Amino acid sequence: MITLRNIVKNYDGKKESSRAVDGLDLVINKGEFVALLGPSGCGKTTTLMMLAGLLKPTSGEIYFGDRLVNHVEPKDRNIGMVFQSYALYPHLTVRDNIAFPLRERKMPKAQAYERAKEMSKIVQIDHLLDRKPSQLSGGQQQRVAMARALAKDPEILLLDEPMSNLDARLKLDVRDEIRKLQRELGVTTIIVTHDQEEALAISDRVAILNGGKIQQYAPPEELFSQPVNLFVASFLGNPPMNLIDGVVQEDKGVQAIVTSGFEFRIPEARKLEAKHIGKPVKLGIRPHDLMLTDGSDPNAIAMKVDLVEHLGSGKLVKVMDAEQKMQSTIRFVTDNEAPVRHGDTIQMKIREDKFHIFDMTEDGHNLMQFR
Amino acid sequence: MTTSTLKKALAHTYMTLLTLPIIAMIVWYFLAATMNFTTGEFSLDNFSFFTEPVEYSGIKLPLIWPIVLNTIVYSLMIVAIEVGISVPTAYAFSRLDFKGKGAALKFLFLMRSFPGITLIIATFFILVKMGLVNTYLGVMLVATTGSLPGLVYIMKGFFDEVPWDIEWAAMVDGTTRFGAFKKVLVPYVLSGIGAISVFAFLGAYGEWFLFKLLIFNDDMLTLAGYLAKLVTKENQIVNYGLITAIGLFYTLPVVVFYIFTQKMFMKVNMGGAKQS
Repeated sequence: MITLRNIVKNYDGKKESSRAVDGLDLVINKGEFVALLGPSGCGKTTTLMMLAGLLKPTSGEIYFGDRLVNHVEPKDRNIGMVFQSYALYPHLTVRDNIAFPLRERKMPKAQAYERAKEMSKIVQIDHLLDRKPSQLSGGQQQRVAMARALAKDPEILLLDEPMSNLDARLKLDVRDEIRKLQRELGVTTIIVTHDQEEALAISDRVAILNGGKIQQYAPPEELFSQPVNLFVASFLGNPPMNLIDGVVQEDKGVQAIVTSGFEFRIPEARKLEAKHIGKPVKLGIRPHDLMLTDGSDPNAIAMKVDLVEHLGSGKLVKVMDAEQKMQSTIRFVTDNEAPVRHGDTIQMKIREDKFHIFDMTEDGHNLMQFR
Repeated sequence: MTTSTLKKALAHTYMTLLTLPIIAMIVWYFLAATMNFTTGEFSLDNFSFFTEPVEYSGIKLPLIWPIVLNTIVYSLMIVAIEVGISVPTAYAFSRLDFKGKGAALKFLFLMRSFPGITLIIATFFILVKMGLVNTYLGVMLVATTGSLPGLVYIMKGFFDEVPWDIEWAAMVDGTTRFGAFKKVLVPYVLSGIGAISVFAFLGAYGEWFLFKLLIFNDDMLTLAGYLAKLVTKENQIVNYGLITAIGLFYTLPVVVFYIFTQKMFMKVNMGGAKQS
């Protein structure tokens, strides 16, 4: 188990302007696969470097199990790490690259080479053992880096954007392989990435970071369906969530969010507390949670189609309100059969259980209680 | 088609004409060493310095072989000292944070562009006070001090190009910081170390001024100083044949060496190339 407790990292000593990580708490269970996800500059790589011991936290504690490792050298932490650039040793062959960490542990050469061969078989590069890194393709280099990181049977595997230099197709394969390998070996793994699809696909839990703080730390489906705040909601999802400015109003016990283009009645089961009435909010709806309907539906909202994009598996439709009073367009996804054309006026509705309301008076937290 | 041929022909003529004087000089150089100009015959008389001490118009110089030995020992020692100091120093400048780093770097740069010759009188007095005049130690101290800033600067450039990832990877893989330096960074910048070794060697091999200034015994000279002695007496009749012959003997090893190492020089910039 890895525990990070109130970690702060300033790159320039006491200067707060250089703060990269700002009071981070994180618990990672043994054998778990955790992703640190966030935009660039959010502190995710800094956090990984502190786990590796390459950077020291300014304050806070890092525990591996019960052991405080703040001042333990990287070499004594028993970690394997794959870098974004793979960081293979260019002067050594693939065999020597994989055997390097073992040789550093004073393992006899023959035994280290034996183990290197074993590892190379697992990642399917055993035919390349005598090559130099410069003679390998990007995908092969990535495998060598994985083999090197895993050769010493580490307690913790750290992956720093390991797939960002691979092409899209290869990424999918490598992703599955990493996941499979991690399950087989049961090694606690932490991956840093800015690719949300990758993070959601590969990990047991994802920590979303922004501004050096954890915004939400949860399994992928929970992040997606129950974002705790505006940042998580807008960061996750492609196409992104529709966020529409509005004000909460109450009329005869019925709450509604009034936007410049339409009025959305909040279902009885999800009524907000009275203190939010009259306050600005953002209504968040994922493009998949808007549906076409017909005019007889009491909840139907009339919209004008601005643009239709074909996604292959469906259509991405951008709509404006009929009078074009709203500042932003709304995106939603329909199937290919839906008769939607540019310039049409359509009726759509919001799935009653699939919307979010973010409080805009404070930090943008999600007002919906998920029970 | 015809214009391009014409252009090519013009370019080739131009290049040939420009190169001719250089070729002529080299040919003349060989001829001067191996021909008796009064009779116009081939002769190796000028190369008698191989077997006997040089002596003409009042100059007496010792036999050349001990001088050759001096040159080799001196040059190799200079290479060892300068490389041994500049590589770790450059690493520190490139990778470590320490107080006064910026100022020290600026000072290095200043030293590099400062004409050392202007300090020579002060240097001489200091060496006299320290009792290091007419010793190899004195010469080496002054020579290394003069060339280190440049070498450190070049070497720093090589270390700057090594990605941090590689060093970190080594440390995660079980090395100490010094272990990472020794096992990963030094091999990574090997071509740079080769380059500064060659610079250091050529600098030492060609050093004559310090020997002229600080060494008074002719048998302690190196080849460059030896050669310098031949041409620096006043009012003498210069023996061109002898000078070119010794000059040839002095230059040939460097030329051969250069032919073998130039590939490495060409590769110098590959040191920091990305792997992908």
